[in-house]
Amino acid sequence: MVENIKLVLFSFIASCGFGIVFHIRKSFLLWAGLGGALTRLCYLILMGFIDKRFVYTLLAAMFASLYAEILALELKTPSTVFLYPSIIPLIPGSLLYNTAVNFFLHEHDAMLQNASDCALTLAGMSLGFVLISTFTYYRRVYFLSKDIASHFLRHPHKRN
Amino acid sequence: MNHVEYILDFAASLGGRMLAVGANLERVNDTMYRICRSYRLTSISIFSLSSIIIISAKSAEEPVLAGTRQVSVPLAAKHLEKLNRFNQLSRRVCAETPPPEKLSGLLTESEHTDDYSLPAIVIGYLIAMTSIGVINGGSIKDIISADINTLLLLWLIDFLERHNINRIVANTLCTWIAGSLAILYVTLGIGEHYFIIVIVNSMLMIPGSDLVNAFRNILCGNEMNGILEFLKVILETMAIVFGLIISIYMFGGNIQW
Repeated sequence: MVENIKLVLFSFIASCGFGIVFHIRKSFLLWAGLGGALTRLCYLILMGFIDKRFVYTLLAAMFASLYAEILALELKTPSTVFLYPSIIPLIPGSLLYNTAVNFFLHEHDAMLQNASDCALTLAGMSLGFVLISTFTYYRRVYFLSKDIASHFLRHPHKRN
Repeated sequence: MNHVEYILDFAASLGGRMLAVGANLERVNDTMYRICRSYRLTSISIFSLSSIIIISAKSAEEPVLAGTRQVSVPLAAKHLEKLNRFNQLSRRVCAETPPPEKLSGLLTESEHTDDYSLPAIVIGYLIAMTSIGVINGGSIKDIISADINTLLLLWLIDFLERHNINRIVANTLCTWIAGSLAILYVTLGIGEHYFIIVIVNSMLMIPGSDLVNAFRNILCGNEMNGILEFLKVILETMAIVFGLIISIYMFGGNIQW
């Protein structure tokens, strides 16, 4: 429990740190840190219930992407601004590093294991982002079309 | 220049800058397309990779007015506030369609942002690396060692980038130095775990978000760009590990992976 709280807290700090490195506006830094902390929390909770790496990474990535999209709508910024710091806890940097180390040391079994874990994590993350961004894209198109349609219905004389 | 050329110049330059500071390829394509459409250009054709953008279109009113622009995407670090400003500019241009000859000036204006000072960025890196060290189970000694290496690597990466040294060569050199110093720290008792020190330092260079973007591009239908990005990420990671392995062979002795 204490270990998990420590992980969430340091994910918050790490995401804030990367927020500065990525030149996020000062007023958005706390949101960036919160994204990292919540994504880590979501990841840890899901890991406790689900065995499959692909599934819990997919759901955590969907959460991070949804968080970024909601903030983007509220704060009128691109979702990427909040997505990058939020996904810091999910990026499989150490898995990628271990895969390369195993490759150079000819440890083929460990390399295959790490490479497959890394690929599953990446596939889960990418699919999670794509699902949420597709959903929000069509939601935006739907509401935009609705606005345009209602505008023309209220002001038919303005139609070209 | 005719108005089509001004618009294409603006769309391609804005797209290139957006890509350079961290935007997704599909969003950049969408932005360039919307800008051209808002000025009633037709036959819009866009080809883009993470290193190049080619865009062509013609005027709806005078089909004889057509143009093509090709821009190289500069290598730059992520700058999400600039991305935010470029995004606002593209929305404004689509909504207000200012005169095409003024677009270039608007783009230059939007590039001026209040950047963090160099000490603030260095502190940001140190905060991030310290947190990664704690998350990976490092002791205080390991974190201090990793932070000393981080300071050195930041200077070295900046120096190599300013001299246009190839990223793969730069990564190998940086991790060779970081790995050799980590061995020195462990031998002198300044650090405790070689693996944790080098993995924290590697995080500074491992292109994690590029890797995710590469996979995302493959899934979104930008296969060519995704595969090229993926190959680049793999080569850069291999270079990182290669540098560490050289340091182990030269100075390692009984260091454990």
